[in-house]
Amino acid sequence: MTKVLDDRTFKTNDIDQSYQLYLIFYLYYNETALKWSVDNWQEILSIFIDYNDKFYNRDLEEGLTMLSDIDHQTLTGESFLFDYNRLFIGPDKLLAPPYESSYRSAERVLMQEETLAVRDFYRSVGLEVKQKNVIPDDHLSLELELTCYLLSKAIETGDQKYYDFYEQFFNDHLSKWLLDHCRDVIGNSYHFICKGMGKALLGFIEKEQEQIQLRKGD
Amino acid sequence: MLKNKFSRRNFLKGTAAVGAAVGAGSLGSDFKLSGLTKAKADSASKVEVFQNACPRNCYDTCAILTTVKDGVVTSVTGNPKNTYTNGKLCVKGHTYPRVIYSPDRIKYPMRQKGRGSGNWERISWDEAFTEIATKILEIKREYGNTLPICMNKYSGNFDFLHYSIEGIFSSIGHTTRAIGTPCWPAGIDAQSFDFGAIVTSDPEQMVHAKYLIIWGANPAWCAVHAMSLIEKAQQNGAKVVVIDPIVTQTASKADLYIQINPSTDGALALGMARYILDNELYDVDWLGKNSIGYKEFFGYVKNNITVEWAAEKTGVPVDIIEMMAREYATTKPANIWIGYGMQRHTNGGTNVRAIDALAAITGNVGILGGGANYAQLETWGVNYHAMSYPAPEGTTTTEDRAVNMNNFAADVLAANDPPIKMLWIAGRNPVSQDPETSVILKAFEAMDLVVTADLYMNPTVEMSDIVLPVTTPFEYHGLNVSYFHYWMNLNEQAIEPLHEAKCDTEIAMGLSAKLNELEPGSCTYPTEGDLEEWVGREFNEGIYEQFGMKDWTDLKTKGPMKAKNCEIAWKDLKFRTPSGKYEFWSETAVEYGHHPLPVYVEEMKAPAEYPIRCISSHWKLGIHSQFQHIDWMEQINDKPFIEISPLLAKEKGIKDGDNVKMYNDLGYITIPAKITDTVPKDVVAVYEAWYKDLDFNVNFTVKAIPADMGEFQTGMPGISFHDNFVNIVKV
Repeated sequence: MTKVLDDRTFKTNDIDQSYQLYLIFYLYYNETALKWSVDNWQEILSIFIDYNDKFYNRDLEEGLTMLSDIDHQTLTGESFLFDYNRLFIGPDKLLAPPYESSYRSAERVLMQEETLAVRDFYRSVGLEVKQKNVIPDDHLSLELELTCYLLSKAIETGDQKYYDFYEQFFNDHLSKWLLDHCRDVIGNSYHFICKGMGKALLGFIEKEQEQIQLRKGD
Repeated sequence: MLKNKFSRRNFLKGTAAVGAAVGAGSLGSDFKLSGLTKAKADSASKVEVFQNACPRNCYDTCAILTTVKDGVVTSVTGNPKNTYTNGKLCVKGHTYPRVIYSPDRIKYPMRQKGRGSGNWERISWDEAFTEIATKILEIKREYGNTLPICMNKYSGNFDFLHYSIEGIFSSIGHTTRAIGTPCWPAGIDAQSFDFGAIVTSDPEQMVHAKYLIIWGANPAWCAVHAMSLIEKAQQNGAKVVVIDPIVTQTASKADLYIQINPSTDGALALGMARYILDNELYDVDWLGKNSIGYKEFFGYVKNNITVEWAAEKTGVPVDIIEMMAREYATTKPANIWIGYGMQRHTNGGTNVRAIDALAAITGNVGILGGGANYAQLETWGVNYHAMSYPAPEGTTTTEDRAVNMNNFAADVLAANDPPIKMLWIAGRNPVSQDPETSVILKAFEAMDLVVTADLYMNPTVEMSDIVLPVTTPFEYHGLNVSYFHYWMNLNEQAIEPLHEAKCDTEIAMGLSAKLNELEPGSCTYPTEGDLEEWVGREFNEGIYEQFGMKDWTDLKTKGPMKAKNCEIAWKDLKFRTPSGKYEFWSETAVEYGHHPLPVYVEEMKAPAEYPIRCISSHWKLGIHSQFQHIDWMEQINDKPFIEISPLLAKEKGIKDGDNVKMYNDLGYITIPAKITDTVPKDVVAVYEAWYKDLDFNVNFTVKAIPADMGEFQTGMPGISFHDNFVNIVKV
């Protein structure tokens, strides 16, 4: 029997807003964001602003300040794309590798214990990577995809178990490496969009860490 | 301020707009999975073991056993069934899981906006093939043929299916090919003049030698599996002699170490021959039956060589030369391992001929545990099916155009009628590995398009327009043999190709498909194929007989297999020379501009301004530009250094750790000094390797000076890498 989330855990304004931000970062890390127009970025920004108004975080706000400089000029040049690729794609050594195992494995190798732990987690919720063993399971776009899936299910069904899975994934995985990853992004990026998104993600994760505690209630 | 720039929207509306704009679904519901999917029911962990082969340019060409759990390589080890590999891998082999799974691997086809800019964008394979095929067809239209397209491939990957790189170029028409080899051609020619071909005895028979000379080779670093064979020989009573200008790690294991003046090896061999002649320690019966020209050779030695002269030339004392000559001639069996390092001189080839002659005059050719052993290509007689596709109909040219791989950049720049406009680089890193780096860069500048297929960023990729991601041996089917031992190793596909990597053979197929799509009939290369089936196509009756195989699938069930009857090179004494005998006197050598006999040719002398010789031997933690840059390896060692003798260091006021500039008229490098007795006074050692993010390349100072031989068997002379004269100064 599905347990219905009670009001303390399941506040529409709260989880919904987190979900939206995860969705934005998911689209950013799966390269969809590289095609966003100025209008798209305006919408993104307004969602961020709404979130920040309710759940203020300094890093997040600093990120949004940077992102607010996006205009048509920014997106016609290719410098954002080149910087994004230097950070996350290649072909040179990645300046901010978007893989959990590059931060958590002692020797920065992919597809070892740390990746397989993420694989096990996906399996525990009935999922696996479509291109298994071709794309490492712990690519940030996949981890964010899982997160969006769990939260959307939680919102859709009201079933506590989805939220619990999300909380576990956040505690065991996302929170364990994203802050370091964001610091690499902030430290190694040239372009203000990359830097801004790095700060925004850092701030959001910091905030979400607090929110998760708050949702446990008193 | 933020709030003034954008109006606040109702978050519901906002999300829906994001959703609509980016196709991701609206609030809460309808989130569509794309990278994730429902797990399959049978997703239990499966553990499998596969056979793989290390395809690198290495004597040892190891047979690997790869453990794969749930589609992921968890460990690699040597396959004990291959008794040369003997169950162990070297330190480089053990980095393979890192090579496969590093986050820094090239994952996708990418295009650089401005060579050397570091500004890369990701493109799809279709876009890559389209751009490349379009350029090829455009070149063909403009010049009437495909000669402006140049392929530079060498030793990055010796798997047989990787001859698909040559194959794709043959199948579009005639192209410009870099021919020759920088490595070993002088010695190949030398042995070909003497014996008719390079055929080493099975190295595993070294254990039977009672006298073993390792001449200008450093197996402790470069053929590590041979060390246990050398040790075994010593345990069996062999005396091991190492001859090398540098006290290498191998030398440290020798019973006798000879620090010879570089490039004078021929003088040592001839000095020994003089002693052997004077003391009648040669096998006149063998010589009468099996050779031509030995009398002329003895005449030359008697009239031109004395042990005293040899001692003066080589720096080896008279009594040592005499002792070695006596021991070598009277201990049976006696074996000489001729290394590739020692023939990288202007007189390298003729020096090898002199060493061969020692084996021939003492009856050490064709006996178990003996020989003058260099390399073999006996096990390479496969069908080369991946390479063998003809030029398409309508091709107006009749043959490929050759440029000298050992003078590549200059030749590319000089080419005209037609000029070279496009470069395809695979299994090679010319910007790191070629001499005269600045000329290489000039050659690249003259290109319309440079395409490189590689695993990792390196200086050649840095200067390319398009990079294509390739697979590691664990991600494709293939087949490998060695140029030293006699094993054949199957390479099974252990895992799926990572990211968007493709094996060179699949790249060939994809390019062919695109070419034919744009212009039907423009490329004869197959557009698809099963690589495992292609492995099978390499086999012929000759190979089956040689290896005692019934079918190539025996390799799957039995593991690596060894060629039969390889223990003793030239056992039947049927040499492949024009006379059928061992040729001290070689007319073929004369055809190629050499003296017919193995005479001494003066070594290159240092010019006054650059009195110090720089030897750039191979490094233990890498193979050319592979492996050293992997971060695991950099944890062991992440800096190059220059080894300087204490005497030279004192003269120059250099202390251990000081930064030293090593320079000549070509270029310079600046690296820390390591003061060591292992190098002689007027020689410095800088090991050739490529380190990530360091502006270091010993080739900045290396000129493309040709070695004396190489043209006969490989089309071009080799390079005298170790005739690099420099000066040093503390900075």
